[in-house]
Amino acid sequence: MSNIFPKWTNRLPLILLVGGLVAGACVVAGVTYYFTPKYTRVGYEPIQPVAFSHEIHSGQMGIDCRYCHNDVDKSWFSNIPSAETCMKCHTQVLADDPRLAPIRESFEKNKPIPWVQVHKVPDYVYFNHAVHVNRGVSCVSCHGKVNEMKVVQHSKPLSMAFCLDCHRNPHESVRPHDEVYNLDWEPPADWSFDREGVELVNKMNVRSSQNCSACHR
Amino acid sequence: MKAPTQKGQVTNASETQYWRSIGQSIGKEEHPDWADREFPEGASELPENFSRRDFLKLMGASAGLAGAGMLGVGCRRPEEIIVPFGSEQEPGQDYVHGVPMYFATAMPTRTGAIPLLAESNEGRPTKVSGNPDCPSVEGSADGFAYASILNLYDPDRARQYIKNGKVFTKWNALDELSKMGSEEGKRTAFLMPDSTSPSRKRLIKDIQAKFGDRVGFYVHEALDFKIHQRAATEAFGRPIRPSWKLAKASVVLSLDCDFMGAEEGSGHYTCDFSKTRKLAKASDQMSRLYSVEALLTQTGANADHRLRSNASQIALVASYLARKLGIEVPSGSADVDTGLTDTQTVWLDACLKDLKNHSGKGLVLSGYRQPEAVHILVHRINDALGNNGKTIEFLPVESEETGSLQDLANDLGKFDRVIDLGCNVQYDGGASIRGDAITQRTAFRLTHFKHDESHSSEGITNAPRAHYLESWGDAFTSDGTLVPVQPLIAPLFDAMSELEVLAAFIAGKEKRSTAYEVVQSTFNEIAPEQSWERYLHVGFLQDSQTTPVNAEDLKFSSDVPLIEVAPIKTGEVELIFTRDYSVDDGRFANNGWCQEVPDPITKITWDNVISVSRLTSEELNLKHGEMAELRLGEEKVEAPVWVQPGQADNCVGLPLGYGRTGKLRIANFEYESRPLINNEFFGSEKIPVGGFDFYPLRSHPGESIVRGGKIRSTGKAYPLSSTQEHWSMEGRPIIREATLSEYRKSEAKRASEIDKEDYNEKHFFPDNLGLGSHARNEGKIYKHPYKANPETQSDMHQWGMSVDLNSCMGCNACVIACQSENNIPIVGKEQVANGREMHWLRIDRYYTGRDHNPQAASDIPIKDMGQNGDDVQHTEPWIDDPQVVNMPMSCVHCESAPCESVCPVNATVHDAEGMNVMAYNRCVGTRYCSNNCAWKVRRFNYFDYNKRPLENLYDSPMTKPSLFFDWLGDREKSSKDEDEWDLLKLAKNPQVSVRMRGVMEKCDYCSARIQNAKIAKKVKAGASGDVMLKDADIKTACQSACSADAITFGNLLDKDSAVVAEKANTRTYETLDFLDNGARTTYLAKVRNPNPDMPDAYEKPFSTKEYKASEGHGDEHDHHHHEKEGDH
Repeated sequence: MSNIFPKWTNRLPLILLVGGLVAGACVVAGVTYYFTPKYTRVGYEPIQPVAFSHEIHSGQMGIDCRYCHNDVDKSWFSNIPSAETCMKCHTQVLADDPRLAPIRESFEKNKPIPWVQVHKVPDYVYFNHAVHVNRGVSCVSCHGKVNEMKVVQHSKPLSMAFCLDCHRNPHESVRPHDEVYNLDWEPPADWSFDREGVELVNKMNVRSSQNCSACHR
Repeated sequence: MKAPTQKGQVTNASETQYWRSIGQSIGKEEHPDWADREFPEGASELPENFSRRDFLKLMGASAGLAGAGMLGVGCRRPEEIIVPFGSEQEPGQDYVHGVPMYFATAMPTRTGAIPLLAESNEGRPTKVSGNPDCPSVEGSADGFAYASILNLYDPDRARQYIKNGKVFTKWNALDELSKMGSEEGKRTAFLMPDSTSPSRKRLIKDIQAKFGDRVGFYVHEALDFKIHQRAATEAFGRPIRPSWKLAKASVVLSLDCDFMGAEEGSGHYTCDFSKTRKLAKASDQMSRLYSVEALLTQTGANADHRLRSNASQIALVASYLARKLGIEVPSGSADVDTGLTDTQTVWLDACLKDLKNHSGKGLVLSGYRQPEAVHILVHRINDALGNNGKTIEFLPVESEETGSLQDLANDLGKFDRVIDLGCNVQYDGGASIRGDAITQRTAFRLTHFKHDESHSSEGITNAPRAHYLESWGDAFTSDGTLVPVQPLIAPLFDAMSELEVLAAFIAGKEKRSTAYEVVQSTFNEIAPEQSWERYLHVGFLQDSQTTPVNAEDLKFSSDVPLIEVAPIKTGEVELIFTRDYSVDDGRFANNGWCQEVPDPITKITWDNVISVSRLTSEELNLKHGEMAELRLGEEKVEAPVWVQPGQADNCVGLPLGYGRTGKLRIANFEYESRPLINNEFFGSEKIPVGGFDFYPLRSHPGESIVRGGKIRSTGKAYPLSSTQEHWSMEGRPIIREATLSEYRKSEAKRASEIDKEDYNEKHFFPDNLGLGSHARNEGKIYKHPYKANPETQSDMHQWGMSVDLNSCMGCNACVIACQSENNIPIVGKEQVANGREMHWLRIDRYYTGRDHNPQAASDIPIKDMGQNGDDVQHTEPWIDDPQVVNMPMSCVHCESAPCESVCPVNATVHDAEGMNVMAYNRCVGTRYCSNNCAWKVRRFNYFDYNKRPLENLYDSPMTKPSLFFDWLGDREKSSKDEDEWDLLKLAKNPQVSVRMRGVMEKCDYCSARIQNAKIAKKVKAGASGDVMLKDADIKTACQSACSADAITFGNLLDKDSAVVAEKANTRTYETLDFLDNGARTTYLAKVRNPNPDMPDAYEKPFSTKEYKASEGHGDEHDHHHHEKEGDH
C-alpha cells in the first residue's frame, strides 16, 4: 500500500499548533491594540461646522470654561452654548467676519449649529460632569489641554480603565477647588500626591466609588 | 431541592401552610414538581417542534448577523451631532439640561383630586408621585395616579380634529364652538364627566346665566361615587358630603365599603387607616377593622373580622344594627329576623357591642355600591354611636344644577345638539340608555381614543381630549383644598381640555379666554390676596380646606327609608358590578401598566372574570377557569368563571372596564396562532386579550347590585394569566403574624428575660411565637462580601429596607411606581402565563384557613393536581372564610448573596454600600442567578419587550427576514408601530438603562436615585466633606409611593434614620432566615387585632395556629440543632 500522505504531513500537527498559536497571538494583539479606545478614540478630531478655536478663546484670552459651558457644574451634561452666547461678544468683535457667518445665521434664525460630538461615553455609562468639577477634578483630567487646541481633539481614551485609574487613586487627580477650571495649573514644586493629595481627599471626604453601580444603572 | 426538609429550618414546614392559591392548599407530602422548577412550565424551555434543523438555521443566521454587524459597524464610531439650543431663552428659565425639573400639579378624579409632583426630563413628564407638602392627603396617591402618566403617551390617543373625514385645526374647532355659542335660538346640552374643578363650575354658572334655559348640563359617570354626597344631603337635608377621619377611629365597621381599594380616594384612606395600625411598641394602640361584604375586597382582606353577606343583604345588616341601637326602622322594612342567619346576628351583636364601647371613636362606613337607603341608615347608626362630628365630618358643598345621563335621555328632545366633554356613553352608558340617541344628537365631542373617530356618525366634530399633564385646570381635594392642575408639556396632539371648550362656547363673538386665564381668574376670585405663583409652586392653596359643619347643627331631615330585601331565588345569582382594581371603570384599559399589574385579590392580569364562591360554583355546576354565560333579562355576556375564596354565596362579582372594542393596542388585541411555536397554554387558536364587557348587563349607570341573574357553564376553557401560581412558598413561615395579645405577651416575656444569657433582641418576637430561626451565622453558605476584605465596605452608607406587613394593604401603588421609575416593560398576557412578567416588585398574597390542615387533604394524587396544581384548588371547603396576608417582595439584597456566587461573568456583584447590583452590560443571560435565588425576584428579558409588539414577540430574523434588514438599516428601529414607538420612548426615565433581550434584572433599591442623591449632595458639598445622605435626601420609588408608609428605606449607619428605628422593632424578621444570607430587606411581622367576644374570634392567626398545632413542634428545635451540628 502506497503512502497516501507525503512525509511532511508528519509534522502537520506541530505546524498547525505553532501556526495556530502565532495567528491567535496576532489576533489578540491586534484586537487589543486596534479595537481599544486608546487607538480608536484618542486623536479623533472631526471637522466642526464652525472653525471655533479653544486655543484663542480659552488659551489666549483666558475666558473661563463656564462662560460657555455654564451648566457643567450643575448637570451631568456639559452644555454646548447657543449662538447667542457667541454673539455676546461677536456683535462687537469680528462682527462681519465671514468665518462667523453660520453663527450669525444661527442667531438670527434661532437655528442651532450642528456641532460634531467629540467626547462620548457609551449610553450605559452615567457620567456626571457636575460631581467631578465640584469636587476637585479638573476639565483637563479627561479633556486634556483644550486651551491649547485649535481644533478640539479626543485626547484621553475615556475607557473604563481610564476612569478606574482615577477612581482608584483620587489623590493623584484632585486639585484645590479653585483651580479646577485653570487648565494650566501645575502642582507646586512641594506638592506631593501622598501628602497634599491625600490631605485634599480627606478634607473633601472624596469617595470615588469603584463599584459598578457608580456608573452603570 | 426539597424545601420542607431544608437544613436549618426550624419549623416543621409541612405543618405550616401558607398558600398562594387554592390549588396549593391541598398540600402534599411530596410537593408537586412545579414547585421545584425555577420558572413555571414553559418559561425557560425552547418551544416544542424546535428541531435540530431549526437550531442550525438559527445559529447560521446568528453567525451571518455577527459578520454583517462587523462589516456594517467598522471599528470607528459613527459621527454624531450635538445640538445646542437655538437661543439661551429657548429652554426656559431655570432649565439646566440633564437635571430633572419638578412641578406641582394634581390628577383630577371624579370626586376630588390627587395632588402630585411631576418629574420632567428634557421637557417630557416621566414620573409622578404624591405631593408630600400638601397637608390634605400627605403625599398619598393611588396606583392609578402613578399609572396615569402612561395615558399621556397612549399610542391610541385621539390625534386629530376631524369631522366627516375632514381634518382641521384646533383653531377651527374653537371657532366652531364659539359659533355654536353665538347662534341664536339653538339649544345645547353639555354631557360631562364628573369633576370638582371650580373653574368648570364657574364657567357653567356663567353659561347658565348667559344662555338661561337654552343650555343644560348633565354629568355622567359609570361609577357612582357621588352617592356619599347625595345620601348625606338627603339624610340631613342640606348640601353636605361626609369626610371619613379614619386616623381617629379605633373601631371601624365597613359595610361593603372598600375604602382601601375601590372607593375613590383610597390612597388617602389607606394612609389614614395605616396610622392606626402602626406598632412601634407593644403597648401602642391599634385599631380594629370589621368588614361585612360579598366580594373579597382589599378592605375585607385586611379586616380583623370579616363576615360574608350578599351585597343586597347589607341593607338587612344596616337595619338590624339600627334597630339594635333603638332607631325606628319603618315596619314593612326588611324582615330582619328571617333575613339574617343566627351566625350573622351573633356576629353583628358582638361587633355592635365593640362599636358601642368605642362611642365617638368608632366608624361605620357604607360603600358606593350600596343604595342610598343604606347610606342614610348608616348616618343614623353613626349618629346613635356618637361618631358624627368625630370620626366622620360633614363638609358643606355647593349644590349643583346638573342632571344625570338619564335626565339627558329624557330631556333630549328639548335640545338641538349635545356637546360631549369626554363621556363614552356608548361603552358605559348602560343597557337602558345605550347612548345611541344621544350620540345622534352630538355635534361636538372630546374623545379619548383614535378609534372613536371612526366610530362616530356623520356630522360630529371629534376633538382629542387633553390629558391632565398637558392642560390647565384646577380641582378640590377630598378635604376641600384647592389645587392647580398644571401642565408640564404642550398638548402632544394639540388636544383640547373641557375648560377650553366651555370658554370658547361662552365667548361667542367676543375674545376667547385661554384655559390658563380661566384658571387664574378663578384663583383670583377664590383667593384674591394670595400669590398665584406660590400657589402653582407649592401645588395647593394653603389653608383652603373646607370647614366642617358643626355636628350639633346637623338634624336628620328625612325619615328612615324603607328597605325591602327579598331572598335570592334558587338558581339565580346576584350581580355585583364593581370598579376594577386595575383599570378603574375602563379609563385605564389601554394602559399597559394597569393591564399587567396583577389584581390584588385574584392576581389575574390582562382579563377580568366572573368571580363566584365555591358553593355557588358547585351548585350551579360552574367550572373554575371555564367560560360561563351570564344572563340578565334580555342581555347576556360570556366570561370565564373564577372561584374566589371568601366570596359570599349566590352572587357574582363583575369588574367593569374591560372588553373594549376598536383598535386599541393594549386593551384589545389578539395573539395570532403560531405554527412554529406550539404553545401549550394557548393552543393553536387565536387568543383575545382584554377581558369582558359587563356594562351591557347594567340598565343604567351607577347600578351596582342587581338580582335575577342566571348563569350556566358553556364548558369552554379560557386561558387566564394569573401570577399567583408562581414561586411556591412550600409552607415556610414567609409571612409571620400574631394577634395583638400574643404580641403583647411576647413582649412581656422579652422584658422579663432581657438579662438572660442567650437573649437575642432582634429576633425575639418571632422566636417567642416559634416562627423564628435560631440559625444565625451570616455567610455560612455563600461568600460574605466584606468579611474577608473589610476595607471594601463603605463606612458612610449601608442601605437597608424595612417593610411593615401590618401597614401594607396590598394596593399595588408601589408596583406601578416602580415600573414607572425603572423603565420596566410590560410583557403581555401570553408571557405572564409563561411566568415571565418583569415587575421588580411584586405583592404576594396568601390565604390561610381556620381549620385547614394541609396534611389531611393530601389524599389527592399528584397527577390529578394538574400542571399548576390548580385543577382541584377550588374544591376545598375551608377556602370559604380565609385570612389574607399581603407581602411586597423584591430583591432583599442579601449580604451573602446566592446569585453572586453563581454568576460566571460577575454581572451581579456587591457594591460597597451593601447593595447587590446588576451590571447589565456584563450579563450574558445564563440565568444561573435566578436559579439560585431563593426569593425568585430576578427577572429575565426573554424578549426585546421594549421594541417588539406584544403579539409578535416570537418574531425573529429567522421567521421574518425583514427584521434583519430593518436592524441593519437602523439599529434603533422597533418593530412596534412607529407612532407607538415614538410615544413610548417619551415615557422612559433617562436616569435608568432600558434593558434589552437576554439581560437579567431586578430591584436595585432605585440605584439611580441613590447615585443622583449622592451626586447632588456632593455638588452641594463642594470643597467641604459633608457628603453623607440623610433620610430626607433619598427615597426609593416604592417608598414614596406607599400611602401606608409600610416601606422604610435608608442608611443603616445613620443612627437617626427611620430605617434603623424600624429595624430595631422587635417584630423585625428576615424572610428565609435559615439561609443565613443577611438580607438587607427585613419585614415587620403582621399583627391582627381580633375581638375575643366575636363568634369567629381567634387566639392566633390561622397560619400561626397551624404551626403551633403541628405535633412535635417542640422536638423540631432539637432535631434542627442536631442537623446543624451535623453540618459542621
